Amino acid sequence: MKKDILISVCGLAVGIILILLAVFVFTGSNTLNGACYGLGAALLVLSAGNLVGASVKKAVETPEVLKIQAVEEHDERNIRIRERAGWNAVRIFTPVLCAFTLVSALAGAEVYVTFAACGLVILITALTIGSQIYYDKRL
Amino acid sequence: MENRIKELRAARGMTQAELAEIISVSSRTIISLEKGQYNPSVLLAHKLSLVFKCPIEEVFLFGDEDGI
Repeated sequence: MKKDILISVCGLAVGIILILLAVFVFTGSNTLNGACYGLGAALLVLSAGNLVGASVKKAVETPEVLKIQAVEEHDERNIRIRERAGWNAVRIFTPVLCAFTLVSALAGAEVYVTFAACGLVILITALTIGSQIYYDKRL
Repeated sequence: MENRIKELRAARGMTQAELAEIISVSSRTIISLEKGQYNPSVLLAHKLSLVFKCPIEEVFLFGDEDGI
């Protein structure tokens, strides 16, 4: 728990620093400015959300609630639901990403956008194949 | 695959929540099992047969399509 809070606080600090850099330092470069704003805002919001979540969790955590949480986490139906939901998300996301890559290439979008999308398609495919080989050997 | 969980549970005067607590699953899992929407793992089927003190094939009714 303390580790999670520490990570969130660090994320919050880095997020603020990145936004300050975007506002005061990287004013000349659009790419760096945008990247700092984007990353900073994402880190700030995620870290703040985690901190609020941790404080709420701490307030409602009783032995009874912890027991229910453990049961829900290890419940085999919930595990199967999570696995299926994850697989479905990848199954739907992959063709969408492929279509986006194709459209961005055909519409003449910036090269780094198309390359980033291509990289994601390759990463997802590699992860899927790697996971299948891994679980084929383990299960 | 059909099952007699609801019937066996009622015969022992247990609620879904009580049965769920005994075998360490969520109440929602018991509801899904009783409706026949979810087929349990061998381990969970074994736990249920231990709770009801009867063989697995008396808790879960295997039809012809479930056989070899």
